[in-house]
Amino acid sequence: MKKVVFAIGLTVMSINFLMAQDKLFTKTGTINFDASADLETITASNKKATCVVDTKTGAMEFAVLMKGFEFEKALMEEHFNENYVESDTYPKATFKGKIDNLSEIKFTTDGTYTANISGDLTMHGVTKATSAKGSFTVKGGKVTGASKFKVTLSDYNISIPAVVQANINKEATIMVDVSLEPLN
Amino acid sequence: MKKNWKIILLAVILIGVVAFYFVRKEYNRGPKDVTQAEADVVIKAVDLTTAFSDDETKANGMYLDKAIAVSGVVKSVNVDESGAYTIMLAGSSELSNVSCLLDERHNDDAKSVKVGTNITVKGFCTGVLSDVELNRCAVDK
Repeated sequence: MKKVVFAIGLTVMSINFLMAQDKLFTKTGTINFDASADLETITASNKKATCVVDTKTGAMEFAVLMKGFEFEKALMEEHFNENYVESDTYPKATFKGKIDNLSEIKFTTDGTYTANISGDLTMHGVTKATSAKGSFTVKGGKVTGASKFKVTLSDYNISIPAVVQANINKEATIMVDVSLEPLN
Repeated sequence: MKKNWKIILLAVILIGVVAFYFVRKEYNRGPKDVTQAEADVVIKAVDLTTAFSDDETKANGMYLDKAIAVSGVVKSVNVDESGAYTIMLAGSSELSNVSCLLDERHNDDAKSVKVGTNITVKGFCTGVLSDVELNRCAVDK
């Protein structure tokens, strides 16, 4: 009898544990972008991206504040906010999507897994279906995720004036790095 | 006549040099240091998070890009892999706090910060996700 109670207790506990582990999140994800062209190096970093991953359904969400992108040069940061992404009007960029190959990713087993992610990216008031390859690394129970993909600025109604076309790349490379923690 | 020519040429070159100097200086201008700026807004962390949860659009209009001195109880101090410090000040609810990312020039400020104490952090407001976000912060001493 005692054994049965113990077994039931253990099962309940492990279910609880598993449920708590279903969702992973961070509020301090890093999103870097690089829109460098021939004449100029244009890079910025945002260390405050939020990300939630549901390891059971594969649902994935990102949100980032456009004003949170830090540039080395203040003038570039001002131009980015005022002329290109118009962050006063469109303060956030979001991604809502899912992991398409969820069954191949073992969030509880150490290893590095390739993830195919697809969903809707919203930026500058435009929502577009997009997909990217990424990876999840599980090490000692800690899950980190990374991805690198390109965004065509004109897709999001961000136009580059002819005078600076040699300075700004039409395609920005976006690099995402998140270390996730269980959401309780 | 010839003399005038030389003076004009010299003036043009001089203007050119001065203009180049200012353009270059403006081009290379670094981000603002919050400790050099007067705070535009002085507010409690709880009131700031409430303002954003009540009406985000209105709060954006009032606080975005402003230098804000926000005081509150330190909930946590975290450092990420890149060495960036985030000081979390307790807000109006468990999920709504003020998240202050330190300016790397003021990373040392984090050393003296203790969880549970009341401090004032100055930074530039970038908006709200789940927390109200301040960037390029420094601890007010």
